[in-house]
Amino acid sequence: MSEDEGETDNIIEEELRKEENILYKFETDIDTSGRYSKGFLYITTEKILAFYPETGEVKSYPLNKVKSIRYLDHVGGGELEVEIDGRIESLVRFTRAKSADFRKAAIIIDEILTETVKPEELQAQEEEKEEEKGKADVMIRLVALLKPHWKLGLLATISSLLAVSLSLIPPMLMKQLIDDALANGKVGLLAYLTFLLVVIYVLSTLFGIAREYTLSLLGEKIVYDLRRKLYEHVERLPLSFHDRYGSGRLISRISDDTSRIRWFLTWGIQSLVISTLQIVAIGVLVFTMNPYLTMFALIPVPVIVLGIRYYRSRAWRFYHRIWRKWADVSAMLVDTVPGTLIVKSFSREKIEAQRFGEKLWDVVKSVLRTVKLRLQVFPLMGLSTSISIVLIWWFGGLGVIEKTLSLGTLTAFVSYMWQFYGPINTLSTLMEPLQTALTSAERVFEILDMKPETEDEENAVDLNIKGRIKFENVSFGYEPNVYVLRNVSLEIEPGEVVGIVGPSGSGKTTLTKLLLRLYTPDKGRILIDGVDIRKIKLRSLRRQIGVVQQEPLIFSGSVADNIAYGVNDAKPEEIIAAAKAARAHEFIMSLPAAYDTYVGERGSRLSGGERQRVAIARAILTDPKILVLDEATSSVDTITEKQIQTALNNLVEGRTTIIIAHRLSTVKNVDKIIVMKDGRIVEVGRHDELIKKKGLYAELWQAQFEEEKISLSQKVRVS
Amino acid sequence: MSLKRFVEQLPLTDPKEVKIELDEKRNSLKVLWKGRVYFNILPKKPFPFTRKYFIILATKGGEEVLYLKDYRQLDDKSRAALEEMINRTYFIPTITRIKNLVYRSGTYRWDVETDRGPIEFETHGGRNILKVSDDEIVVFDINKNIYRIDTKKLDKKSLFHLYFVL
Repeated sequence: MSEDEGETDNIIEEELRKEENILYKFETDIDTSGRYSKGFLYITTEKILAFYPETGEVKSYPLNKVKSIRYLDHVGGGELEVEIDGRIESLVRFTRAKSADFRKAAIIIDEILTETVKPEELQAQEEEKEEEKGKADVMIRLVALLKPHWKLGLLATISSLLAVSLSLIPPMLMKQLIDDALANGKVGLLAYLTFLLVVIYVLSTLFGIAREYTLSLLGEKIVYDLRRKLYEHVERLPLSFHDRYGSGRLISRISDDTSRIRWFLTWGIQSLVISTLQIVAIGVLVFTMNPYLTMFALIPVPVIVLGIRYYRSRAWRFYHRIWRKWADVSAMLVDTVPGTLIVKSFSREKIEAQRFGEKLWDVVKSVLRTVKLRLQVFPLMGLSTSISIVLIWWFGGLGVIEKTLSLGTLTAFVSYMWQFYGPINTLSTLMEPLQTALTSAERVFEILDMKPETEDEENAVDLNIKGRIKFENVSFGYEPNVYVLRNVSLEIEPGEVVGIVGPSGSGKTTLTKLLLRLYTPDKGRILIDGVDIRKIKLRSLRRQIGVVQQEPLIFSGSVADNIAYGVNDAKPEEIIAAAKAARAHEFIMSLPAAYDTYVGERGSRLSGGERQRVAIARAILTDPKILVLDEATSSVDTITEKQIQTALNNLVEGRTTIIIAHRLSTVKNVDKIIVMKDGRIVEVGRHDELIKKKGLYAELWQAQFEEEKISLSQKVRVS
Repeated sequence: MSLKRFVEQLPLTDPKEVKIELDEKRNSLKVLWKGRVYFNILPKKPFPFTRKYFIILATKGGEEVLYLKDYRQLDDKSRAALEEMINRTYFIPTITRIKNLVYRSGTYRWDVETDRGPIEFETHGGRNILKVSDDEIVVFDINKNIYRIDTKKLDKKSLFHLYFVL
């Protein structure tokens, strides 16, 4: 906290009563007149305070008098306003840079006002969040991934150490070979030394093979564990997370990032440890052989150390950028490859190719930046080592000529030098994959640290649903304080068929998402058979609600796999019965391998109507108590719609059914129609009643009727 | 309507109550069940690979008459007659040896021995080679012909070829 802020807090504390505490403090960047200026919003246990140090202006609102708070989104900024004593007052203004903070402030104040949370509890929650932020160091967490496979890791390390230790022996033998065997013509010693060299090289190769195999095995096991864990976690994360991340980015994290982590945990760590040990061991060896020449050997060390430090300090940003750019490419592929039909139908091939080219070029540019960075450092390091070797040859050579040094010692020394710079180079080149692995690890842990979907409450029950649904004053927004459903209340009786209609964006689909508990209402509650859905086990709830969507998701697999998707132990006759009820059996039997036919990725080998009927069969097989048909027939032609409608009639019978419809004719005969607009229910009634009422439904009906009349007359004219 | 009621509407039948004979004159089956005789019947496998013994007996016109969950429970004569007709209507050769399998421009070219003789065929990519169980693989060629492979019965060289397409 800065001195200024401390002073501000002192001024504010003077405004507070003795037992009053500051719960929250938010900083704003413009004052009430719209000029850039620092200001603060305090939420205390008793009041809301806005304070502007530059002008000394203080606004104070006792919490018990504030009726409500509103977050307003303006252009380039926002505002919080409070309702107090029957009037609306501007509490604080801010630029968009602060909008997230003030959305949060609005929610906190709202929760206090609606008594959802007591102020003291809020503080406790915040402390908990702070604790969560204290993430363990990425490196420690990475190494912890090795723990379950420590035996394999140990085996790999032992084989590596043995292979490296053996590689230190040949130069010593060479020294003896030159100085003793060759210089003195000892054939027996020559034979012994060459035999020993063969044995050492064979053993070194064997340990090398053992190292390679154990490390590869270790790597595969780690990446298997990590990918599985990550996938399971991602599946458990709430829908809001998937909305935010998009599938391309997630796929990249599960496949690419984990591969990079594997490399680091196996080859990376091994090389790090082994190279360090090699440097120390060879350093000691050469120093004891000839301290004078060792001096020249150390010349490149500062260059290498400083070079690595320079590189490390910059590299992570560049690598982070490459990953982001790659993720953009993946995201675009995930969008456009499955959407080829749309791309072609809008003749967007060239534009999409251009967009792809641009994104790909961004990757190239980012990679080139890292290449430039690498070239600033590593060639210099290489040059310094080469010069040092040349110096050793020169000064060592002089020693040999002057007979102060044996030829064998010089040869062994140079040989060790190459072994010495080898691990130094390894260490320096390791920095690059190390950086990428750490960046990848950060991205993977970021996801693993996210809180999964709300687990069942302790006393949650398995409910045998009858089908009575009640929404009680439900408000909800995908973004805080931006509501798409406002104070929605409705009741549906068991077995009742209810249609929900309204313009796009009126909140129809959101209603069903809340019913499935894919999201939790911000306010109000949803009851099924009188039980709050938060008290029903998630599995039990979702198993008994069947959903047929406008664009049903068909997985790659057989038709039978797709129909039986929600039921693990489905009997073959049940699969057929469900398909028959969905009017899908006939077309399925005409496929090359009937129910065993592979439907292709996303069901690409089936037509839209066929996919829809497979989805209906899937819903029938789960035998849901509540059925949600979300624009289930809007994407098919009239003939297919009729077939699907017959299938749906089979499905609807005896179940509480919610039909979200764009075509109003679909809901004409239902028990009750709910008309929505801007997140609110505006009309409820049967078709005839609503037509008589001449409200929004009547307007929509008339508009659709006119539309159909025009399209029919156009068809007649064409024919 | 509940799933149970939909299932009840299927003509699921106890195989022990069914007699099947070959009707050579009509190149079809004659089915006797509870005193009733059905002519011009052909067997249909709704799950030809995953539940091979589930059979639908339907008229040549496509009307489904009886469902047998496991036709192995038929008496020997009926079973033999049914299997004879299955062999006539389901031509799914079993690959016994893969002589050669090469990949060129998105297409696999197979040169194989089957229980029905040698054949060469092509498949598009790997999407048409499906593992239906641990030991069984089904291959769809570009003409929608189907071949099955029992991996337990393949020699090492054939398995080696197969390894690269699975």
